[in-house]
Amino acid sequence: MLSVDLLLLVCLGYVAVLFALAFYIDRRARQGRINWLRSPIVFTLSISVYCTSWTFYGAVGSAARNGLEFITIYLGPTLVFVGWWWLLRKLVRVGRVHRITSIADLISSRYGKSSSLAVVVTLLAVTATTPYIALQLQSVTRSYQVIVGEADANTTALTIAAGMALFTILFGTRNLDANERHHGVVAAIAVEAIVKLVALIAVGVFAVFWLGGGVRSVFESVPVAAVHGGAQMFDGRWAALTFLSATAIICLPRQFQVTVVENVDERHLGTASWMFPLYLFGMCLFVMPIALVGLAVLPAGSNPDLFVLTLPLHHGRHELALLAFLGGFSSATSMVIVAAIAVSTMVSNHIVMPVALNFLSSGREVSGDVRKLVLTSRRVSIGLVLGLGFLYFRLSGGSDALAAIGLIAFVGVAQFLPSLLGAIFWRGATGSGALAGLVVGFVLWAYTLFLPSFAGELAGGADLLAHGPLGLTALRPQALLGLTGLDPLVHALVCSLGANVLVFLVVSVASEPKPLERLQGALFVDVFRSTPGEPPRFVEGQATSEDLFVLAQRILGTDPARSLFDEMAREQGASGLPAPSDAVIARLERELTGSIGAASAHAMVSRIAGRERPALNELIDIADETQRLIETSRQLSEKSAELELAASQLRQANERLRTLDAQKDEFLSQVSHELRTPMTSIRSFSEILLGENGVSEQERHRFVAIIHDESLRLTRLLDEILDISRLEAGSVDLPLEPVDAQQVIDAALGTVSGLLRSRGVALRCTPLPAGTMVRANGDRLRQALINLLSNAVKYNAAPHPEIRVHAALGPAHLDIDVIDNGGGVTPEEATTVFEKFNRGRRGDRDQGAGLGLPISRAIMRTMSGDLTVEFAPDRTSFFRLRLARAVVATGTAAASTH
Amino acid sequence: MSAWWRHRRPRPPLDHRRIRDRALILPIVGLLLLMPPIAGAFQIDLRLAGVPFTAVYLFVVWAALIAGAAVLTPSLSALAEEPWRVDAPRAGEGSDAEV
Repeated sequence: MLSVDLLLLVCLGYVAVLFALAFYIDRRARQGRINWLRSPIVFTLSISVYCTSWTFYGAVGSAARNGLEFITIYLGPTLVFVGWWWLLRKLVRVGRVHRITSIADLISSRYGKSSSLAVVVTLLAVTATTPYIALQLQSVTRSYQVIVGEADANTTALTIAAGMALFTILFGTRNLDANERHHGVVAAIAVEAIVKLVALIAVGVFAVFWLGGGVRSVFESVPVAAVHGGAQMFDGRWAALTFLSATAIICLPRQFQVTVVENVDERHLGTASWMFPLYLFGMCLFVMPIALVGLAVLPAGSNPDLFVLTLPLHHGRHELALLAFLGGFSSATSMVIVAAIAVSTMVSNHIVMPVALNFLSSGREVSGDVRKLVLTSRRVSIGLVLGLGFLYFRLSGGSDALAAIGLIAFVGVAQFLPSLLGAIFWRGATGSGALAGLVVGFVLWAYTLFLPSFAGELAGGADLLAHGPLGLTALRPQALLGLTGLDPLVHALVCSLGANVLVFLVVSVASEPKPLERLQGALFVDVFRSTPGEPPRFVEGQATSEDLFVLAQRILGTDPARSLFDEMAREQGASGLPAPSDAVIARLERELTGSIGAASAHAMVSRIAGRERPALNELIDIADETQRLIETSRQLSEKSAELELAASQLRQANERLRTLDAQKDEFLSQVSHELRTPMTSIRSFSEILLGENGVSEQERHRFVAIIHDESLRLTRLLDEILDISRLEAGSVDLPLEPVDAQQVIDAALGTVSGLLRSRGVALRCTPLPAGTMVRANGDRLRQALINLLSNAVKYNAAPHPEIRVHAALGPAHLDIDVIDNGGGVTPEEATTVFEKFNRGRRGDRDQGAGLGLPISRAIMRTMSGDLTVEFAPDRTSFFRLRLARAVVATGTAAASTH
Repeated sequence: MSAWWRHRRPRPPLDHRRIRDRALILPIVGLLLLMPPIAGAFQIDLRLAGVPFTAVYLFVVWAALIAGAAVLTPSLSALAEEPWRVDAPRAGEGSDAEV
């Protein structure tokens, strides 16, 4: 047997080390030298405050009774952490941006900084945490008793509770950290986390390899069913337990404290996402073997909840038993410390402080150092919470009913889940919905789970469980509305959380959010989208800077307040106190939030800064709902502008199509008209010839000649139509080659020379320099030239007709001008002469179909040249053919001869 | 497989959405493998080196989840690179741009 003195000595020594460590770290933190503390490993170890003595001792007990079911308690957190990106990261960011101090603060802050909501959450947290703390006291007391034999349970528990209260007060309320962070405490619980892990693994190794003779022999002696713990181990209870533990890792006040509030760097969450599950894995690895070895080795009737301790003790391994005791002690104390800090922060911020402030302000003026008041209230709250825990332990008489309290507490805090998720994912969630859901869930939890847990010890409790209140069987706590056949835990979970969610949803949908709720909702839900910095707020400001400074001084302390105001003044570029702008007031409120919670800070600042104006428009303006509306409407108007543009382009295209269609119709009717004239004369003359009567041979000859001529004209016309339509459609492939321009001109003049002579037209031609090459198709160019020349001859009515062909060389092109003295065209006619079937005022029907010029122009354009009407300075008009010169051809030809 | 999608135009910052969506894989796979309908199929009377198969199954899935998280975390953390360091100088707060 270990001596009491030795045990006490070790315990005290261990506690002293923790105190010293916390003290040392706190001092370094105040000097700003805690960079190594900001490691993800410390963060992860502090999260493992999840593993309480309920894990350390209780998991083995659970494994001995129910097989592998105990794993569910660790699988839920594993799932939440490997999916950290979706929930935990957002929680941590919200906590960071809004200086959240507790889960009650988060919920109240999100739902319009509502103080009633904060009070309800706080009460619920206290109710769920108190028995849990009692459980820790009990486990330490029992383990103490196991080692030293009988000892007064109450004295032991009281000593522990007092010691924990002292530690928590010393290091949990040393100063009012604006960020509500406790470096000393975090360091201490990180050390404790290592101690409990090492202790459990040491006992496990001892049990498996010393006592059990290896893994195989430990398991071989037990039936598989005992390990499964039931015929159907993956049932509703399995799912419910996993869900519960997943919820607990988010909603337990102490988990919220270490994960969200104490987090110093969001990225630590990433490391914790695998390291924390790994820690849990290590804690669980030996649980089942220890349970099996304990069942096999220890005398029948031993309490499996204490196997971790009794196994080494029974085999005389006192040093191992001592380590196991320290492990259990660490699990219990770290939970108690963190839970006390978390819950006392809530109690202080949301219950004690508002009452105290109310009391103070009903006096003359706000007087006294509020800062001192906050600290005192925090300390009193810690004493209160631990006192309640002890009281519960005392009243429940350390009964076995306490063992079940872990899961009961889990279901209790699970009631926070709907409001919490609604807070950060659903803008439509309202404070009334959250309040109603919480109250309903809380009441049902108390009735279906909490009450039955100790009802057996109350007068008439057993009767209530069996028959319901006043004999109303439909209201039996464990079979509400006749819902029987379920595991009591699953039943309570389904009833309380189901009703909670339902009421939360329905009331939220039915109620109208207050402006502040709407604003906070937008800020919380879109926390990743908003720019980091102060959440905006609006107050009608008659605040004087002096009042604000006095307030800050009282809550933050003189020096921090002075440096804060100095900094704000510097930012404004002012000396002395900063002007009480919205930004200053918002910043101040945010700083105060870190110390006294959102609701209180809001109330205090609003009271000094003036009546809050519920300016719906302004609030909605900043809630980025409006931003989004603006964005949407901007996109809409952009789209409609695009549509308009497309529509106008379509309209233009349509217009052009119509014009083209009209031109086509006109062309067709012109073509048919043109074709009709020769066809008519051919038909009438052939009809006369067919009549045979009285037509002389000479006449017959003449008629046949006319028919022949008309047929020729028809053929020529059809050829021309075909030609121009092909040219215009671009389906004629004109091979372009360097041709000698002068040769083409000469050939064209040769062709029309007969015509010129017969009409007595004089011709003047300026010769080009020899070897002037152009890129063209010789035949087609000649055709165009002949066309122009014959036009010039045919339509020339001058007494002394004269034609000049003048070729001029440009740098890259050649112009061939065909000039006649026949009167030319007016500027108005200059465009119409190129229309099809336009004969101009000088023409008559015998002299062509009016396709010559359009064909010529089409030819020139196909050869990348052009045909235009130009006007000389004396306003006489002439036609100009323009062609690209083939400069290269001559160059290369010259080069190749060398 | 020819993997036609590999030939798509490369998008330089390996799209955030794809990395982010990977964060969904683990919780969902874990949920499926550890919850009743599927997990029930692994509750069999079998022993691996003396250890009941179900126990081995649970711990193997668990270890796989941990390993998966350890593999995924670096890319996710790089996405969450916005430095919201608590004690960072306050004056610089405005410059911490959000993603």
